[in-house]
Amino acid sequence: MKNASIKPLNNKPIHSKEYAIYLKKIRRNKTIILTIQLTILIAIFAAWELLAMFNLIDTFIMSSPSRIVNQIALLTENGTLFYHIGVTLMEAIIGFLIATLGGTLIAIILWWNETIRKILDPYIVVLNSLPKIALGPILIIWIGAGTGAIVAMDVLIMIVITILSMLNAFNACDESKVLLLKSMGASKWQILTKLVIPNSIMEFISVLKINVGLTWVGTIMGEYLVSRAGLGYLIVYGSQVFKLDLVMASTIILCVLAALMYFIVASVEKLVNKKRNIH
Amino acid sequence: MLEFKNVAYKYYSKNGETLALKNISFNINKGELVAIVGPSGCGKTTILSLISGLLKPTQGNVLLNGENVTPEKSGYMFQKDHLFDWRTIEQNVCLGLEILKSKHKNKTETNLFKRIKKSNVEKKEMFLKNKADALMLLKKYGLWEFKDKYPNQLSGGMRQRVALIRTLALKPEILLLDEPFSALDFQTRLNLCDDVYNILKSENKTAILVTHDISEAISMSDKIIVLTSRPAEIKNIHNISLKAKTPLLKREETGFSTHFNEIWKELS
Repeated sequence: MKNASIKPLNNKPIHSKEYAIYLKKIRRNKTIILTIQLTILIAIFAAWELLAMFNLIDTFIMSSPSRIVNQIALLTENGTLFYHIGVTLMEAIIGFLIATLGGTLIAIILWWNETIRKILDPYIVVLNSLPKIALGPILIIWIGAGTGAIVAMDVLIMIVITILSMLNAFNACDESKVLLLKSMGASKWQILTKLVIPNSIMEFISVLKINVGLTWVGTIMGEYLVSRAGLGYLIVYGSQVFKLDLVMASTIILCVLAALMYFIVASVEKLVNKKRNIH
Repeated sequence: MLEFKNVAYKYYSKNGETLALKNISFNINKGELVAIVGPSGCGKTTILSLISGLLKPTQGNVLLNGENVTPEKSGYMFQKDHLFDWRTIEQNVCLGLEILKSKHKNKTETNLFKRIKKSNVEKKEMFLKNKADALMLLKKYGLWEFKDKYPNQLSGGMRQRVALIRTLALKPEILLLDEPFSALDFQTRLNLCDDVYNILKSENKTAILVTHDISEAISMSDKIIVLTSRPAEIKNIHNISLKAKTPLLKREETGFSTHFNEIWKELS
């Protein structure tokens, strides 16, 4: 067998001095970017605080970092902070899971049966272009003013786009790979599990990334419409009683939570890539 | 033995029907390597699909040892290797075996629960045995050390050899090669022709090669079927009697250019 063109893959490459310099350059570049990112963040907050301190801005409508910190401390003390975070987080996670898994399942069904897909196609298209918030009042009347309606709002916002993206990914599967499996005598179930699903993993992860952002949109929107607790409730309440400290504090906590959840999904992506040997 | 008995095939689409094959009759003996050449789009691949049982003839019969063909009896090798990126070489090679395994059922046991249990045990045994055979092939054809690598770590020629072993792992009675070399550069192509030829001959497999390349057809096969343009009919069947041991050496034989000129004339 001729594989002279292939170099032994397990040989550790020997680095030259120039390569070490190249690596160092990459590392230094990374450090510079991170430093600038942090500097911008600190500068914004510092400027905000200083402007507030010298009364150049009105803290009544602009709030200030120190007032936000005080507000968070206050909420922690009376024990309501974690309660509100817990409510919103639960709604966001439940909505996320239902929409992502349910949407993918529906996409599988639509992939499986072309007739069902053709029948449902116009309905999905209309649902997709409909602004989901318009359904808010209906949801409240049907489900009741509570967590149920919020989660339903959240699911509605994510599920249509999940179905469409996953169905697209399933249908984009290379026809000749399907033919290969068929020529081996594979059943439709085997084509699904051995080819179509693993082939769509990257698309699934990008749906996760989209949904992890959208779930906050849905949850907070739901809480604006109807709620007695949660970060969205705090923001609406804070704005109604003109407590901007509360609005700002809730918004910043929301930022942190959303970033954390995104970070978890990004780690899952890294793990999958590593397992699949993609760099 | 594979027989085509007066086969015709029609494609149907919204725009109408197209007659792709007409009056196709030929026989292929066990262990023979037969090439099919013809103008592009004439229906060469349709013939392979008919042999694999993925398509049913509109007219006539395709028989393998006197019985109708089914996908299990043949192995397909495509222009692209179609290795799954998320599977290691070993897992790729075992792809067909996993499908084969799931189809196995115990037929003798009457008690349902015992039958399920027995089937599962047999499935596992069968899979392990087949897998061991497949790994032997990897070893025999120089791919053993790459069994834990992923397809994107292998060269084009190696990937195509893995694809062949994936097909051979199912122990098909007949191999269908649909332009398996055309996506490769010329150098790799010549080497791979030799490799595939050696593998097919040493495993004593019946194989049908569809190709655009007349020299490739002559250098690899025992018999060449020349088709007309659509609807394809058989124009001629050539028996190739070159003595050399490998396709590369056959290209240097004197009889090679005679065959080439004859087929070239028939095609143009």
